Amino acid sequence: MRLLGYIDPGAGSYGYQLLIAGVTGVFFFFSSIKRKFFSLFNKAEPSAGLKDTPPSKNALARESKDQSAVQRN
Amino acid sequence: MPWLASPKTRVLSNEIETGRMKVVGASFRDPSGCVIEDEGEFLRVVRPAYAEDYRFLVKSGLYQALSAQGLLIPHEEIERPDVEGAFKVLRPRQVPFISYPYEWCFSQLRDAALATLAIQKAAMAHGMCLKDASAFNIQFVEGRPMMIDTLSFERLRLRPWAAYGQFCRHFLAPLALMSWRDARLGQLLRTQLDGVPLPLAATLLPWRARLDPWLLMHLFLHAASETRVARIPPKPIQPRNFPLRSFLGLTSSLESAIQKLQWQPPKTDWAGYYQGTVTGGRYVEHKQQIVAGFLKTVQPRTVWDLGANTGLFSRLAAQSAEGVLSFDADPACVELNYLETRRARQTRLLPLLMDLTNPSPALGWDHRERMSWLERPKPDMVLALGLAHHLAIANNVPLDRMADFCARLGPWLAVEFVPKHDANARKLLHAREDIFDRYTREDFEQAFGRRFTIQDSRTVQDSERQLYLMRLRES
Repeated sequence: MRLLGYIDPGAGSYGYQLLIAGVTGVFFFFSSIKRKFFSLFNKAEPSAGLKDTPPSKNALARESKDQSAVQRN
Repeated sequence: MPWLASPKTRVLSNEIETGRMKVVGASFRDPSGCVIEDEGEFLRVVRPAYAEDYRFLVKSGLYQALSAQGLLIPHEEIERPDVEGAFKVLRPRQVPFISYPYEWCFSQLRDAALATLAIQKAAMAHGMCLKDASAFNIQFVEGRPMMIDTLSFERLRLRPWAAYGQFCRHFLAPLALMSWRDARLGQLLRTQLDGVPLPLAATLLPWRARLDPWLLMHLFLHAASETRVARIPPKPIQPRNFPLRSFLGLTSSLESAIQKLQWQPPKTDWAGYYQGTVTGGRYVEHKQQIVAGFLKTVQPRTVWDLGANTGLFSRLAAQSAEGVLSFDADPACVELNYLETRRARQTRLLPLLMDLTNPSPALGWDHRERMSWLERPKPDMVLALGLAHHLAIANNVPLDRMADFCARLGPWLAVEFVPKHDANARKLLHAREDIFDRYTREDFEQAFGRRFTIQDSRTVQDSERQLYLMRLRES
């Protein structure tokens, strides 16, 4: 086992997130549906955790702009 | 360290100790700015490189949203023309006592993790993103976790989160270890200042932990990808698009992972201390009356309760003092103390984990990034109740050294002497040879009398324990 890496630990996390992007995207899709479903019945959030802040319209608009910018580059 | 001839303070290099101002803590690493101390007040200097992000932090409404929710430390912008080259100088709300993640109990670290994720989600909603997710960016202020690094935000770009690995090392890994293995493993943060390495956590966790899908994804497989990269270094990182929904899903799934981690404090000897025969009944009630009387005499602003157990006497002190710190070496006691503090929304009490025989040392680069315990502001009054016999008998600390230590802490001391024939003290001697000839009440009063004057001395009912109120002698 390599005890002290030459490369800093963050290097692996970058690529790993791209690898799991599909899973985390699907998770967000289903948790949004669950949130909307529960909000129909109950004003309060079902989980004890802090509220999910949905992305602002600006953030979503930037997503499509950025995606097309990356594709152009 | 060169002393600058000019009276102005240049902020462009990390070496800005001049006159009365100096860069503090670990802030020398941050290119966006640094924290300086100026005559006891901490200020945050914003460097020109961070100007655009800082303007957006305010303009987007993120600063207002987070400070209103109590998640980000509020600040005011001040005019300091003597700090040359700064874009802005901020005076944040001053944190009464700095504590570090290795001094927190399980639930404190967990609440800090959830606060960090709430901040990240709010940031994304305002078009920003956290640059780092270090547990050292959180401090407990009025009993709640709050981010103190105002410069930790950058404009949101759809790239993988730079702070993901750090979040997993600082929060997810130690919490998983404390939940699945042993609460004492939080102490790993003392030696691993940038968080517990994921491969290390993966080795220490039981095999069953892999059955948890969140830990599998964010810890075990994440660790494996790190190990793989160490063996086969990646090509230079090309920016890759990261869909917003994946980014949001990453944050939400980390939140689910943290929420799922629980720890039930076991019934340790300490957690049930006040239900014992010697320490139950009239003893506790009378002791509380005596200590309340001492507190009324001294009227301290700040109090340290050493060996605080679950905080019974800390709560008494918090009724009148502005700030009380409860220190105990038992993770279960600190946990129970914190859970009660949180439930009661107690803002004047902060429980912390501290072993008095091995307190937090100065850590980090040049021993200057994280302060030792006694480098931090001291209290007006110390409570050392039910403590001295443990230090003397279980830890062989001579009484005069104990008195010298107490003398370093504050001008007032409430201390309890527990004689050797007390039932609890006898337990300490069960498996040891009694070499403590010099542990008598007379020795105690003589040792402490060298450094303190005894203002009051009362015997606690239903016991032979003696409670003293002492005042430090002027040297």
